[in-house]
Parts: sequence; structure tokens; C-alpha cells
Amino acid sequence: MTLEVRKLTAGYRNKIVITDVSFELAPGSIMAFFGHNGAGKSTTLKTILGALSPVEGEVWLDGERIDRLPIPERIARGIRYLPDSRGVFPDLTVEENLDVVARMNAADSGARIAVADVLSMLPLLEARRGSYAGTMSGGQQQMLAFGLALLGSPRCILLEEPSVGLQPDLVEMLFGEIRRICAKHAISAILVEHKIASAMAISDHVLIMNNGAVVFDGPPAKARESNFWEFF
Amino acid sequence: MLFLQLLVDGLVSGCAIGLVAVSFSLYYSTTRVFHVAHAGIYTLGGYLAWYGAMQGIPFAIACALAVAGAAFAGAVIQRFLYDELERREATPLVMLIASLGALAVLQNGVAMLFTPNILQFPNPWRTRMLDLGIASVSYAQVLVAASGLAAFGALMWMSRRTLLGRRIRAVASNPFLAEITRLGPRSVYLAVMAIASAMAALSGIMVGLDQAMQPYTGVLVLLTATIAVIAGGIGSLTGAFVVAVALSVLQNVALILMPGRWSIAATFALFVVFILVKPEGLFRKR
Amino acid sequence: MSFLLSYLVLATIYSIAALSTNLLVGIIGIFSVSQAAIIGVGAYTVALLAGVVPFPVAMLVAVVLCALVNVLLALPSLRVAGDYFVVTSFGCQLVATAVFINWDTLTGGASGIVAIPAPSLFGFTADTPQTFLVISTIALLAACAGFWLLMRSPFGKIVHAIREDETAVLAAGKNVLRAKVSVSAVSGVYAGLAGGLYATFLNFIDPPSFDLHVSILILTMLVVGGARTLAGSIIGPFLLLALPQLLNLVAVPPTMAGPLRQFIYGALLIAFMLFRPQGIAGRRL
Repeated sequence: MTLEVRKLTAGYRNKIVITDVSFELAPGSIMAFFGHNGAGKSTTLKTILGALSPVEGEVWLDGERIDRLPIPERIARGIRYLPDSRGVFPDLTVEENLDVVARMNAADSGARIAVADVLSMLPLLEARRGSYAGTMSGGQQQMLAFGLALLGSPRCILLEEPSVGLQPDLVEMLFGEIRRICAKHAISAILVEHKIASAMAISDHVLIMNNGAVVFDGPPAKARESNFWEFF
Repeated sequence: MLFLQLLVDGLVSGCAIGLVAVSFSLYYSTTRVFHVAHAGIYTLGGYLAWYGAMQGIPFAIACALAVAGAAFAGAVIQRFLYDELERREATPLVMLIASLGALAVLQNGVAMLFTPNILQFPNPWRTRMLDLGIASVSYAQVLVAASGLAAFGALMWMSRRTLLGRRIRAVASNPFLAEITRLGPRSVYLAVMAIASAMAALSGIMVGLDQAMQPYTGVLVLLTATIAVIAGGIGSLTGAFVVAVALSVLQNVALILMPGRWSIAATFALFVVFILVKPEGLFRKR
Repeated sequence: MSFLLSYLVLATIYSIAALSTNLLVGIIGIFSVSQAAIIGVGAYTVALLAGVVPFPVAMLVAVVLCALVNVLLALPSLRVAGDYFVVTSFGCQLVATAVFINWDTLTGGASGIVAIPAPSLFGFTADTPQTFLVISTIALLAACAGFWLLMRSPFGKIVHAIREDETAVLAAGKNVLRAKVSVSAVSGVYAGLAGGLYATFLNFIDPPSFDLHVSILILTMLVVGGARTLAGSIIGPFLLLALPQLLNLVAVPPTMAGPLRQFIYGALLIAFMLFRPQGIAGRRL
């Protein structure tokens, strides 16, 4: 398994938000992660990233326990996180964005995705390489944020609402790229998303949370038949 | 001609104030800490160089040592004051009061170590004059202008062309992303503080060489510099430098109309009107 | 004996000044390094009017003027972002000092104003430290009562609630602006009061009495005593004014005494912000 989350309990000061959350993610598989606002999706992702420390439970990446490591150490091992907005450096050009992240992470070991690879995988970025990220549209910025996450040796990408503010055709295009690239490089992804149909279409796996607990964990086909949609 | 002479003098001292403005702006836009103790670093630089010069060390070497010393002092403030406060989740008000404390410590530390009185550099060549035809400038003034422009140019080059420059701009524009992409925001803050302190110290040394030094004048310089930073548009290094030079020219040329002791009041009045009319600054950030 | 008495009088006056700063920095939460300038406006006003009109009238004019100036200076902070106001505050302080020094026809320039008459009230003249202590203590008690009442008034409650959750207060339709303006007006009144008392007690004022160092001193008093509480604004001045006396016990050359004092104030500001931002008896800043 790429990522294993075992009986995770976490939250903020004096307030537990998620209890006993467990799931597994196979290499190259995409997990759609649903639940209403406050269900604990963001808290789960932030605990995997390391922005929050768990009260109880464990997080394992490629057979290594990572839940006590600081954020940069987890990034070095292949965790990537895309915030729902501001996932790029607005005052840098597309090329500078990629270049600075690539060079600061150049010491990592493992199979590498370089700036040139990202530019060839995401032709939209190639076309705008000299543009300042802050001047680009939401969709282009989201594409760049995804490109930044691909640099180095990503193992598991956590995507927080990547479709926010994007037009429907752009969402399809972005999700298509995510599916294609994740499969090709055996990268796993967790996709927190409000656009349920689009997210389900590219996922192998669905996790639904309610009130801080997992209420459904299974393949998309089974999720469609389940009665958990009443939460939305 | 008086007007041209004042214009040239204004341009020259504008380069020094511009250096303070640019370095303050660099630090502020990267860390969002309003570093009033920057005025103390400016003062410290001048006094360290003066001390070196008094020991008979060649001016260039005294200058380099003083700049390094000031950069180190800045790094100490960053590491042991601002970083600590941030770790304790201090509010901006608490940061500001601590910075004010650091300013008082630096200024009065300098006053106690050296002297609270007015000082002049011992180097005799500093007052030698150079005739430019339209106006004449001292050797010291030449150094003020040259060092100001060179340091500004070097900073712009560093910011655009080097990895550190890109890291600084990246951290300034998105600190959270910088953290999760391993750009090392902490070490960037430290580097920015050292660079900004070195620049402020250079300016303090050159102004001290050209005119004279007193431990408490740094605040007035910083006030003019921060006015330039805000009027130039926060985050725009070029804006800060250009407005600082313009303000200095204005202050000097206005000497024809009014005595110099009112120039800070006039500058400040201009600033108050300015922020009411155009709070986003002249040079809009991209 | 008179030495102790003048320490007590000055401590009461600085307590009023600290309360004034507390209202701005602690209560409304705006940074100020220009409180000495406002106190200076009050002091110069009383010094200039003291021989012309009765003392209470001079005091009243000073207090009203300071309230106006303080509101005027605080207004930008209610409109523009926090850090702009730091510049405004520094600017006001430096400009005020420049005015005190350079408008010499009015202020006596660098040599200041001498022979300011002692306050007299209903035929009773406070020309000794003993009698002045009575007046300054009454003034401080009145200021404390005013502070206490203001904190319990609707304005005080609104300002307190803003610290907790500004958007909720705005959403509740409270007039945030009016509350802040009222508090800064009261802060100005206190500064004027402190300035008037200072001028008439020492019978002499000059620009350095109201420069940036004094603003920093008052801020240090507030921070050491503790912001946002009544007790803090009184503990701070009484402690810090004792410091110069302590330093007299150590042999320091006279030219170094000032820098050493200010150095210690700076170190205290840093230490308290790092290790005890709530001061001795205050609440979290």
C-alpha cells in the first residue's frame, strides 16, 4: 500500500475533529473523499501532511511510519499537498515557480520528475512559462499547482477542492490530466471535492466522512448504490 | 547655481535613504514584520565603521567589517527575537513593541559603547570636492551615490536572477506553500534580515561619512524611508527607491523656500494627504 | 522627604499618562509611540495659558485640545491598515518634537518655558510637593474611576468584544467606529491632564520632556505593569520611576545615565514581550 491511515484521531486545540479514521490507498489509485463542510476531510488531509499532529493513530507511507515527522520530511518522502486556493507563487513566473521548487528539492533520492517533464506533461504550462502566476486564470493556476506537486518523486498527492472557481470544461481537463499522470507514474491521490460526479469518474475508491468518522469506504460503483448521499 | 546644487545634493542623499527604504521594504514584504529596529541597525553600521576607521583600519575594510557586523546583529534579532515571538504566536502589536525595544537597545547601546555626541569620520579625503560643472560634490557624496546605486542594482539582480532571490519572492508571496514545498521560509527570513541589515548599515556608514553621526538620527531616516515604501507601493522595491530619491530631492530643493528644520513636518504632511488619496501606493504591485 | 514626595507626584502623573496609552494600545489595540507628543500639547497649552487665565480654565482648554488631537491622530488607524499607522504614529511624534523645538516664538524653542505658575484652585495654591500630591492623587483617582466606568460602559463592552471577535460585533450592528473614537477621546483627555499637571508641577518644560524616548518610556511602563488593566497602568510607572534612583546607586557618568536608562527600557520591552507579554498585572496583548 502507498498510504495507510490507521485509527487516526486528530483535531485542533481542545477540539477533536476526527476519530478513528482508517483507510488504505494502493499505488496509482485515486480516492475521492466526500463529506459535508466540517465533516473532517480537511483535518484528515492536514494530519497526513503534518500541519496537525494526531492525538492517536498512525500514518504510514510506503511501509514507513511518518506521523511524527515534520512537514518537510514528509514532503521529501513523497507527500504532496494542494491547498484549495493559493497553490502557486503569484510573484514568480511559471518557469520560476517550477524551477525554485525543483532546485530546493534536488537532493531527494528516487525516480525523478524534472521541470522539463512537468512542462511536457502539462502543455498548458509550457505555453505560459514566462507568465507571472498571479496574472493567470484560476484553471491555469490550478494546473501549475498540480505541476509543482509532481516535481521530484511524489507518492501521494492530497488535493483540496481543486475545482473551486473553475469552469466545467477546465475541471474535466484538469481531472483528466490528474488521472492520466497518476496512473502513468503510479502516484496515489486523495481528491477532496464537491463536484461529486467528476471526482467519481476518475476515482478507484470512495471515502465518505460524517461528523469526523468514516461512514463509507469502497469502490465508486458501490458508493453509487449506497444511501450515504443523504449527507449532501 | 543654488537650485542645481540642491538638486544634486538631494539625489545623492536620496540614494542613501533609498537604500534604507529598499532594505526595509524587502524585509517587510517578505516577513510582514514592521521592523522599526532597522533604524538601530543603520546607526550601528555607521558607528562600527567609525570605530574601525579610528583604529587606523583602511576605510574600505572598516566598511566591510561594519557591514558584516550589522548583518550579524540583524540575524541575531531575527533568530532570537522575531523567530521566537512567531513561535509563541505573538500578535503584530507584540512584535512591534519588541522591535521598538530592540531599537532602544541598539541606539542606546551604541551611545554607551561609543558616545551620545556627534561624531565625524577621521578620513581627511571625505571633504575633498569634485567639480561637476553644474554643481560640486565631495568624495564622500560620490561614495554615497555610488554605493547606493550599486547596492540597489545588486539587490535587483539578486532578486531576479539567483535561487535565493526566487526563494525570497516565493516566500514573500506565499509563505504556506513555501513551507510545504521545502523552500525553507525560516532560513529565507534569516537571509533577508542579514541582507537588509547589511544594506541599512552601508547607508548609515555612507551618510556618516558624508555628514556626521548621532545615535538617534536613524529614526528620522527610517521615517522618511517607510513613507517612501508605502508611497511607492508595498512590495515594489523600485517604487521604494524611486520615491525615496524623489522625497530627498523635494526636501533639498524646498530649502529654497523654507528652512530645513521644517522639512520632516512637510514630508509627513505630504504623506498623510497621500495615504488618504492613494493608499495603494504609486507603483502598483503586480 | 521632598525627594520621595516628588517621586510620588511624578508617579501619579505618569500613571495618568500610562492609562492614556493603555486606552489606545491595550484597549483599542492600536500601536502608539506618540503619546508623549499629546502630553506635550497639553503641557505647552497649560504652560502658555497658566499666567493668563485661571488654572482650571487652562486645564480645560488643554484637555479638550488633547482629546481633539488624539482623535484626529487615531482616526487614520480606524481607516487604514495597521502598519500604516505605525508610520503615522512615529511621524506625529517626530513632527511634534520638531514643532516644540522650532516654533520658538510660541514654545520658547530648545530652552523651553520656565516659571510656569503653580496650580491654584479656589484660592488654594499647590506650590509644595505635599499640596501638589493631593491634587495629582485626586486627578489619578478620577482618571482611574473614569477608566473603570468606561470599561463597564457600552463603549467599553463593544471595544472589548471587538478584541474577541470583530466581525461578530460588526454583524450585531454595533457602532464600532463611535466606540473607538470615544475611547481615544478619553485617552486624549488623560494625556492633556497628565501634561498640564507635569508642566505646573515642574514649573518648567522643554522639548526633550516630550520626545520619542518619553513615548517609549510610557509604553514600557504600560508593558511592564501590564496592558488592559487598571492595576497595570499604576504598577508600571511606580516601578519604572524608581529605576533612575536605583541607577544613582551605581556610579554611572552623567552623560551615560540617559542612554543607560533607555537601554534598560528597551531591554525590558524585549524581555516582557518574549516572556510575559501580559506584564505584571495585565492581560494578553
